[in-house]
Amino acid sequence: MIKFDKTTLANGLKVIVHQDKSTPIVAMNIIYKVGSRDETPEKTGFAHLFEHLMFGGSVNIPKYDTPLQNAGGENNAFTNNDFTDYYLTLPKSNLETAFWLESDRMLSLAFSEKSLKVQRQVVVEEFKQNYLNQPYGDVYLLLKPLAFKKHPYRWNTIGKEISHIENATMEEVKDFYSRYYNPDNAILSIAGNVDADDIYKLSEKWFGGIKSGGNHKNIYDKEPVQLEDRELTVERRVPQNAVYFAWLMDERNSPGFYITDLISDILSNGNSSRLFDRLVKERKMFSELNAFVSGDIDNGLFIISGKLINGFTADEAEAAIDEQLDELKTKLVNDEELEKVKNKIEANLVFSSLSVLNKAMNLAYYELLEDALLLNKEKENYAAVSKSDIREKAKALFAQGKKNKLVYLAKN
Amino acid sequence: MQHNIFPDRQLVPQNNRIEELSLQNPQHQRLDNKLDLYLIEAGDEDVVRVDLVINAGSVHQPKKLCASFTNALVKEGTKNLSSDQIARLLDFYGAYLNTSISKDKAVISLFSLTKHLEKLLPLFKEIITQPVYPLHEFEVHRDRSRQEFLINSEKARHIANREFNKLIFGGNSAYGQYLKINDYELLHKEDLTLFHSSYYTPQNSYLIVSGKPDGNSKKLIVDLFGNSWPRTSSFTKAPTNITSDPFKGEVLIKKDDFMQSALRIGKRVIGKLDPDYPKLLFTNTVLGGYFGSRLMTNLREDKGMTYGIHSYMSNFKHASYFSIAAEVKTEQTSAAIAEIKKEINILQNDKISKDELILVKNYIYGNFLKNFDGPFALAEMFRSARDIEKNFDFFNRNLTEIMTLTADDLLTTAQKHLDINDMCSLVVGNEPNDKTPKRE
Repeated sequence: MIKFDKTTLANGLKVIVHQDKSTPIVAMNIIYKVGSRDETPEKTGFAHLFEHLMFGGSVNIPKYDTPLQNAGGENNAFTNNDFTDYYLTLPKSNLETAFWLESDRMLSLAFSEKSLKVQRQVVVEEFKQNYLNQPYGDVYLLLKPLAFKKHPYRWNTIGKEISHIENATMEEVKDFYSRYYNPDNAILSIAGNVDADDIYKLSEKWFGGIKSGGNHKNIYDKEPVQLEDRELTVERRVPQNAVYFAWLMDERNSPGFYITDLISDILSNGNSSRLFDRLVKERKMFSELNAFVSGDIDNGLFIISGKLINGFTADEAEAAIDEQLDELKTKLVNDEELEKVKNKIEANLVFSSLSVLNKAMNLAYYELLEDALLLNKEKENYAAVSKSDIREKAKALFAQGKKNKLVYLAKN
Repeated sequence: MQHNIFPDRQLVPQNNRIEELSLQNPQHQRLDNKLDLYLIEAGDEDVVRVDLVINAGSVHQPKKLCASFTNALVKEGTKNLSSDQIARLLDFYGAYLNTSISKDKAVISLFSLTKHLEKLLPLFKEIITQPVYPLHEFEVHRDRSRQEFLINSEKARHIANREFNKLIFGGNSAYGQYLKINDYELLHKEDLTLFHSSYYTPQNSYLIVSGKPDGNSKKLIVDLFGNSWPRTSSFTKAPTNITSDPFKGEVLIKKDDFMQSALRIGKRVIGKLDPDYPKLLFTNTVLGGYFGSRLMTNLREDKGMTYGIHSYMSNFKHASYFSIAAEVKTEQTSAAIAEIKKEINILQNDKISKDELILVKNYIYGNFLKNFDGPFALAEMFRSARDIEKNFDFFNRNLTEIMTLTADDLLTTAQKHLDINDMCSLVVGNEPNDKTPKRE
């Protein structure tokens, strides 16, 4: 149980406070409800590039990092398909510096031409470092457009191609900022040895005067029902063949999500999981084999990825995996196995609340989903899943015609 | 009616004196078999971490891979339990068993909810003391590790780390040893059994328990790891040929198809017990040890040459090195190296401004507080002190000294410890303007 208090300022900013008396450190997390799903197909990678620009100075503060470091603080940020998250930690006595910094960049940016020019280059290097100059680095650049035909999840957060980043203009930056970086599109959460009333006062003082932006809720194209299996084969200079399978799954805020997540745990969470035990250890077919859910807010992906031991073909790999999925569709899991994956969920929920930063991030994330209260209901949501839920979900999820297959072959 | 207090945004909110962290050293108990047990009771959550630290790192191994395989495979079958049974038990209780290996130490860690710890401790003990290294599990691990090695051999960053370690410690030394693909064939499961029986003993280990263990678990730990874990006659040998002379100069490993060059520039430096260590730690932070560092500001934030550049110190029991690491735009490889050298030069010749001096001290202070946040973080910090025969007082003393350092201290430290002529500079990728001959 993570206790918290919550309020909404007149301009729409949500404020969440969690008290943890055990530490001199305070964590502040701000989520802006904008991610790569809010981009247009011709200008992908923009939400993430914009995240970099948020550190290029705001209207009254030439450099974000300097005053924070002077206050003994540290920060970072990330962007995904659905949202952009900025987080920092600092000693409690300097907490007001965090309010000053974060509110100023919500009020207005400096829009420096130099920052745009440099960060375009930095992001291009990031693109190369993590996606191109890396064995198997382009897998998701290939898999996502295979699995999504309509929904904006079909491109990656880093962008479809480098030119989209290189061509970003200052006008687009300003437009994006005024559309999405507003108090009514943000969630502020704070965890540490703090009092909710004090935080509300500080929030009012620093964020209260920022004008709300009006409602800019985007409607995303719903991914149409997939009717036929899809397949893509590529050759790359890598040491082993690999296979990737993806199926469209339920949205995050639905009971189906929890069932599907438990299916991924039964298949591949821990050394006693089915895929690891049977296909990695027993049959020695894969050197790595994982099943996981993408965790997106809209309908995301259930993914199985495997690197093959030399001598096995992609067809053999697929048949072996299908056999495991068929078992889920036809036979009920046993009680002990279901209890095991639920126990693991319970432990992981505790392990993920050991630092103030994790707690602040989790609270803001669940508030984004719907309500921070959901964080404390997660255990129940998983506990409610039954053996037959799992079998029925497996039938629907892995049904004929729903598969997306990427075969990644080693070029000799 | 809403009243907004419009704050003065031109003014930085007053920075207050940062709260002090009073670090309590762990409760220490020497068990009957002379095993040191450290207990760190902290945190609000009902979780426990147990770390067994063994002097069984790669420096001690008679054969390459032996130390890491001996450690990683402890959980793959014991006298009484199969690999599957162990995996099922750990997963059923939502626990994690992690193994890790470094040059000096092997560590086996158990993470568990407090309520399940008592049930898992006997298993933890058995894994540590009675592994049998079944052939099937050995082969699976070997084949998977070899594949991972092959994939890593295509990554610029991994090639750079491996080659740099070899250059800095000497390829034929215990610290500088490096893997080749046929090393996987030369290792046998009998090597692991022998290494385990020699090194995984109470007299060669210590134990840290952190979090919120209950009374029964605490008693059980003393019983399992003290009373019923007898000392054995030791077969350990003090490591020899630990390091040889470091390479100084430039090396290029050409990779025509790489889109970026991985850089490593550095040298051997003093260890944590040297009186100059806090000064060097501070100097490293200024140069490349945090986001606002000079290298990051120059090469990333000003010139956009790289996604990230850092400098760091790697400290081991018998030797330490300093290194700068980055992956940079291929066509700017030489320019990036020139900028790095320029920054080292500035550090040695120009006095740091008062503002920057204060900023870095404040940053280090805040970062120090953060490093000790949470019970498991405390355990990790304590381990790094205990490995050099110190306790938390070591960090307090370093921090106190860093807070008193002057601009002159920084100059003399950079001159004394970061001489560019003593450095080794490695490029993995392309350096179009470079004339250095290829060296494999």
